[in-house]
Formats: sequence, structure tokens, C-alpha cells
Amino acid sequence: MGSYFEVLLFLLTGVIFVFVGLGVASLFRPALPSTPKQSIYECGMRPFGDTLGKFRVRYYVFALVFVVFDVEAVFLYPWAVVFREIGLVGFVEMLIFLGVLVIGLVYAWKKRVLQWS
Amino acid sequence: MIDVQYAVVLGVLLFGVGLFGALRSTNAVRILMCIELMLNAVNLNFVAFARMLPQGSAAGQVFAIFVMAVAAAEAAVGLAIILQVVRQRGVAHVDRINLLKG
Amino acid sequence: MSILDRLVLFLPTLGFFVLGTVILVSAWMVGQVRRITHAAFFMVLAFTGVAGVFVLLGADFLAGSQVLVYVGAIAVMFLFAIMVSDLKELSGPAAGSGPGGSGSRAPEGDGEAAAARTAARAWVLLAGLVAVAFAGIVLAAVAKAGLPEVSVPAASGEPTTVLIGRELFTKFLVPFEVASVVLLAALVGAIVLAAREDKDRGLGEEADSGAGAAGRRNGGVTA
Repeated sequence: MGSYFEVLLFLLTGVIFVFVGLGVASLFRPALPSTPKQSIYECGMRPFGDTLGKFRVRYYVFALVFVVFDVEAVFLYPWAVVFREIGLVGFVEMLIFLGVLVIGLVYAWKKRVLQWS
Repeated sequence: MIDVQYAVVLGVLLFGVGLFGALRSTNAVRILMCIELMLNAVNLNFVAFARMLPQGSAAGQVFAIFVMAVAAAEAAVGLAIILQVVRQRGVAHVDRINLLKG
Repeated sequence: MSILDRLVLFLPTLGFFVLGTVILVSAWMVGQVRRITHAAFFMVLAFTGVAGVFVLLGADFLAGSQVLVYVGAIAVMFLFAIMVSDLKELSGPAAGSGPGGSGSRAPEGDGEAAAARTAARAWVLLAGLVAVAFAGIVLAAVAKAGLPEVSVPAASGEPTTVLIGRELFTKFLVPFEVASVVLLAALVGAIVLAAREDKDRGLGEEADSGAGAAGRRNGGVTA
């Protein structure tokens, strides 16, 4: 149990920090709202369009490639932990695994979906 | 201390909620989300049942990792199909995607 | 045995019930909430809760990968998919969520709309019945199965990563390699599906700013 109690304390501290900080600040700060102040801030640019607009499908392909390699990372982690135990066999196993996934990466590369035109 | 059976019950309830959501929704993306929740419930049960195995076996957790991998693959392809359907037909409502019926 | 010690012992149980409530409520909201983006964020909340339960069950590596894969990757992919498609078409209420539900999708006559609404409500009822029946049957089976009563202390000693690694690369070697093929198939398939439309509609020329969104929307529907 021990170590997770500290995680809990950490979480609680984080939550308390946010609320206390904002609460105390709201007691002291002046509140003088005006139209420019309340407009949406976007890097100093004047925001245009609505947030529900359509974005390029390319973003989805990037997310997709990311997901596949994220899952790969999940498999890599225990492999790295037991690497000493399983030795060369484990190394070859992982090479095959990675090789198959690299085929996918090469395919994506060849299809030029990773290129930002 | 947590009784492992609680986790099993939680898994069943989560699966039921996900099943209800998947059945009642007409939006394809939402159905996919509910399916992800159901897969999560399955993972929960895998982990809970793995705790009932003799100590030192992690088979249930390994299975949960495989479920995650398959869930990622399923979501990727499912969303790509939905995107394509929305582009071509302009709807994401599954009861209006009836092209195969002719 | 001070009161603090007893409190610490009680915390996992409390945490489990809090997390369970959060999971079930947010899973329920995924099916109910009107906006698809909100549904996606409720899904994230449910995933995070499940990760917490994994921690309580002593599966710490799995909790980490749950956050990494589900919260970090799958949820992001859902959000991206919602973002790149027309949100207005993807959102909208689930079937028969009260007045203005699916029945009002098309401008129909009053009678037809009412009939559609009734049908949608019946469908929801049926869905609920199926779900409740399923959960009931499985719960009865669980109760009857006489499962051994095991209780886990949270984070019971050794890290599970070593155990998982040992089994994954010996006993579950073939599934492990097959998983890579599954991921490859998913990657290639999804790229084929997503990239095809790049060619059809010449997305390369279109800026991704929201400026032309309205015009594009009209073009997109007729495609």
C-alpha cells in the first residue's frame, strides 16, 4: 500500500493547490472585464471561424501512426525489463515484431502520408 | 484491501452500460466509443480473474495487453471506415447507412 | 493502531467505490450526452478510472499502459477523427433522447415524427432490456460460480512488469508476433481508407483554417 498513499497525497495536493490558488487570487485581483479582454485569445491573432470547423484528414493519419507505435511501446517496456533473462531469443523475437511494424512505417512513408504538403 | 469479486461485478456493470450505450446509439462514432468501454470492462475482468490464479501468474494481464493492442487496431480501422462513410454519404447514423440493402 | 492507520487501511476500499462510481457514471454519459466531443471526454474519464482500479488490483504496469494506450492514444484518435470529419454531422442526440431526438432529424409530418419517436423510444427500451438481461445473467453466474474470495492489497510487493515480460516472451510468443501483424494490417488498412480521400478531394490545396469551413461543408455533403 505504502507508496500509493503518497500518490494519493500528491493528487490531493495538486487539486488543493489549484483551487486554493485560484480562490485566493479571486479575492485579491481586480475584476474589470471589457470586450477585448473577454474575447478568445489565440496567439494575439483575431480568432475567425468556429471551433467546429473541419480539419485536414492528415491529422487523423498522424494520430493513427502514433497509436500503432504507442502500442508498440507498451510491448517494448516489459521486454526491456526482462531482456537479461530471455537473452538472444528475446532479442530476435523483438526484432521480428519491430520488423513487421517497420513495414507499416515504410508503407506510410511510401504513400507520402507522413509528408506535410 | 479489495475483494476481487467487487472488481468482477464492476466489470459486468461496465460491460452492461457499454452494451446499452452501443445498442441505443445511432451515431457510429459513439457506438465505437461504447465498444471501447466494453473492451475495458473485459480487461477489468481479465485482471480480476488473474488475481484468483496461483501467485506468480500474469496470464490475465498479458491477455489484457493483447486486448489493448486489438482495441487500438479496431478503433483505428473503425474510425477510418466511419470517416470514409461520412465523406461519401454525409451521415454517421448507422440506421441511415443502408447502401448494401440496395 | 492509531485512527490514521485504520484510515489508511480503509482507503483502497473507499477508492474502489469512488472510482467505480466515476467509471459507471461516465460510461453512462458516453451514451447519453448530446455532443460527441463531450462523449469522448467522458470516455477518457472512464478509461482513467479503470486505470485507477488496475492500480488497486495490484496491476501497476497495466494501469500505466491503460493510460498510455487508451487515454493517450485511442482517445486522441477518437478526438482527431471527430475533428477531421464534419462535427455537425457527427454530433446530435443519440436515438430518442427526449424531444428533439432522432425523430426530428427529418422534416416530416407530425404523425410520422411521432411514430418515429415512439419507435426510437421502443428501441431504447429494448436496448436497456438486453443490457440488463445480460448483466443479470452474468451476475447470477458469478454469484453461483463460487469464486474464491481473494482480496488484494494494493501494489502487492513485486512489480508486475517482470512477470508480464516473462510470460509474454515465452508462453505467449505467438500471440505477441501475431499482434504485430494485426497492428500492421490496421495501419495499412486505415491509411488506405484515409488517404484515398486525399486524392479524391485534393485536400492538399485546402487550408485547414476554419475560414473556408462553411463553403467546404456544402461541398462535402454532396460528395
